[in-house]
Amino acid sequence: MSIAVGIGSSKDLESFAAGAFAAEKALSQKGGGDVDIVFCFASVRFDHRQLIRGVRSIIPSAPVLGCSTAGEITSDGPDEKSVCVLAVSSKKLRTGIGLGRGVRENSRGAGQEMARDAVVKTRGGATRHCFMMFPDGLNGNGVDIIRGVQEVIGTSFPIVGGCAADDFLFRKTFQYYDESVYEDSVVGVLLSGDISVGIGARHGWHPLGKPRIVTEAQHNVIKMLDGKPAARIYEDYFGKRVADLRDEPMARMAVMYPLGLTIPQEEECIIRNALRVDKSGALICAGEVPIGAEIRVMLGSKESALKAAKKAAEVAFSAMRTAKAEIVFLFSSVSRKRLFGRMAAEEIKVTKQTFGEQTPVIGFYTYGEQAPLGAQIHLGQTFLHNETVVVCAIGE
Amino acid sequence: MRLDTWAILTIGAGLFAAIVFVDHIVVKLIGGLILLVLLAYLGEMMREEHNEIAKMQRALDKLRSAYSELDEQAKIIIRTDLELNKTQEKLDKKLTDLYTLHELGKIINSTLDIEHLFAQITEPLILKLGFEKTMVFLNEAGQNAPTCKAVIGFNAEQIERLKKEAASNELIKNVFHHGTSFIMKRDENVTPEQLQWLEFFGVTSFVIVPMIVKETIDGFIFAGITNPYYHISQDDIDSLFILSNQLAQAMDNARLYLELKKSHDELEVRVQERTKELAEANKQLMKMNKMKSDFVSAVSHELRTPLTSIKGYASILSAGRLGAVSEVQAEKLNKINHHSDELIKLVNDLLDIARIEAGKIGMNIKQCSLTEIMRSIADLFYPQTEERSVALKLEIPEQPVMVWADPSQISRVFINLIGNAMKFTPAGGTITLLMQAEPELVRLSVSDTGIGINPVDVSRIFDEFYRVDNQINAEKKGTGLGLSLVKKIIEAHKGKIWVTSEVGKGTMFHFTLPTQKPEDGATAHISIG
Repeated sequence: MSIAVGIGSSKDLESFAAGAFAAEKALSQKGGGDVDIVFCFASVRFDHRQLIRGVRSIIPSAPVLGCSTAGEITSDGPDEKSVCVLAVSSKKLRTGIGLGRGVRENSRGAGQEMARDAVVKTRGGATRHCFMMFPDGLNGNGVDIIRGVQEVIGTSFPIVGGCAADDFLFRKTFQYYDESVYEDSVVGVLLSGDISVGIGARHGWHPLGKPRIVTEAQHNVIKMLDGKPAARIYEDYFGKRVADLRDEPMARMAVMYPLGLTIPQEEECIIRNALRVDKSGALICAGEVPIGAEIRVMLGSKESALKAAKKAAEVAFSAMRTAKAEIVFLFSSVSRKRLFGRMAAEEIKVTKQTFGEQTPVIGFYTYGEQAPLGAQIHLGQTFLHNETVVVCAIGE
Repeated sequence: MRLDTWAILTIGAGLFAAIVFVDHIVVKLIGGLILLVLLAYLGEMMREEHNEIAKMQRALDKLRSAYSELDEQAKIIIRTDLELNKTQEKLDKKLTDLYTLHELGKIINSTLDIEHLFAQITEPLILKLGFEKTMVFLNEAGQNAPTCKAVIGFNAEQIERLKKEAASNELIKNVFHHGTSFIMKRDENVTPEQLQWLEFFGVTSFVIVPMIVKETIDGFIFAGITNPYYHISQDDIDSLFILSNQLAQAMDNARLYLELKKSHDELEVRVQERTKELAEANKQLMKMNKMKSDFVSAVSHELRTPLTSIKGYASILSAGRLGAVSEVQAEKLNKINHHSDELIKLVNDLLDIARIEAGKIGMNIKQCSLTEIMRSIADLFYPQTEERSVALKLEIPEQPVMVWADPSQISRVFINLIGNAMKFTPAGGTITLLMQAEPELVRLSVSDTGIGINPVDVSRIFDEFYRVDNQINAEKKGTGLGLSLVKKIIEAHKGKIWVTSEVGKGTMFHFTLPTQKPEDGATAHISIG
């Protein structure tokens, strides 16, 4: 086996200890030896610097990449207020990690900066397969970050990942890059080498009601729909006043009923979560929305969301062709966790059923997901999704 | 075929030009006519088109309203779904709470150690119940202020502050006076004082629930959250109440157990002391009983010798061996003789009882025919029964019934019991000896149709020197030792004796004798001489 992985998790109250315990478990599950890269996903409740210090006390030299979450995912199922660590070693897999700072000011620039950093750090001229990234989920323009990466690595190059989250607090998120912890940043890794990568992404939400046209928008802020303040759409559907919607973050309610952007020839709409409502009644979304786009309110059900997860896993699985998946990354929207409630484990279960019960799974609940679209006309170009589960399998 | 509007207009315009410019009346007339026809046609066409447009407009309006209706339905669907999801979330939370509390209940109900109990209040538990930070305080005996038994997410300063506030603060006094929960949250109605509290404890809202043990408030739980978007619901408070009840119950159990154990231990000590005392007293009693037996035995021995002498001399005197005896003298001597006999019998009975008690009587246990013994006893009593016109009936099997017993002692039992029956049975009465043989034992009874025994006397009838207080006993002398001796003999044979009686109808003495050879131990015990 040329890709060896180990996963460990901990709920220790003390951050350093939690990091160290999780790393220790991951290392021993891998069977010791060298580690080429470490992924770390953790609840915001930790002192992140101490946490990473704990991880590096066990695995000192390998690059570390990760972020804060709204729930952790491992082979054992979903968890909360925990840290999970993945240790990977491989002779065939080549990794180069990158960091881009200041996504709030310049999302595109941060994306470029990260991608360049990762490309420079990738040793040798191995085949590039996929870029995995974890941007701040509360700041900047997620679509612009993707654009930045695409400008460096290529427009059709597959990008996957999930936006860093903060346990539904919507205050701030953290990104891990080696021994450092950043905010307002994006971290990522370029995966290359003699490996196979399979990607699948689905949400399972269905459009409902009348389409509305975006008549005024700027980046990720929808100002007007059909010439009326954008938040009116939720007033209409929820039967609440805009003031009430502002009272608690829109996201808590709107995640269940996101907006769907119709994309030509795609099986599913692209989803945009409305994160907040501003005083003028504009919707601040977790991703860019172009003027002229046709928008509908989406409705999800546990059954359709679970079916979508199964489909995403199957797409990723068949993309692997004959290769066996050694590790499966699962980036699932926090809204899915909320929709599933006590059933959240089912989503991980169907993934394992597709890839084999023994296949290790790691990931987290996100504030936004990155994955390429499937239809031919998009040439595999990556989009920013919401409410979506992204399955990324790596094997040889 | 319909002409195009433009074509008609073009033709119309041409005709109009012709009418205006061609200066020929016929052309003008024909042109005018054609123009009129054309205009009429055009008017018709436009009306038709207008109808068409109106139709289309209506269809469009219909479609639009259907679309709006659909959108309205979509709104209903979303609102219903929103409600459903909210309920689902609530239900999920409740289920998680209850499951968590159930699991906790299993642990805390199995512990009787109060410290171990509070060690179960962990962060994962509190998080599952929807809170992030907590303090659990307990009022302990002999302490002025409550003691903090469990803490998650609060520092020493915050613990001290709450301890102080719990004793005095007006805001939260209802928790301690009325056992109600208290909730404080950061919303638009928050007062500066409340804000100060929330900021001091580093939470956005908190709740205090009391811990009530048997109607007294024994402590409280303070639980807070830091997420400004999460509102503490009644369900959250309910769950916290369940937790506090569980803790209170478990504490009460632990306390009760400790008390019970303490009193049990005390009782154990006292029982041991009492047992020791009783054993000592018993030893003393046994010693005294032996002294009594020895004394009776000694006295009887000492009495028997002079009695024998008295009887002897009385016999010599009454035989006239020492000179002629007058009739009066002979009568008195006979009395001496008779009383001496009675006295000797009394002394002998006493001696026997003493010996049986001391295990010293020489029981000569052997296999013997009980039927034979009973027949010879009946023969012995024949003269007396004849004399007193009392019938003595024998209801015993024809064939011999064998028992292991001392024949002379068993005879004594019958003599005593029949003698007794004779005494209390008036003339014309019946005395019945009954025998039933069973594999293990023989049941025997001696019944009479006498005056019967008063129930109050039944229980004491086998006591030594006990004499039933009745007319017959007042007239006829007795030692009060007969039945006592009978009982001792039967018991020495490993048998049982009891009595049933009805006043005025008669009395029945029942006893049993084993048919099997007594075990070596029993034989040895009896035969120790």
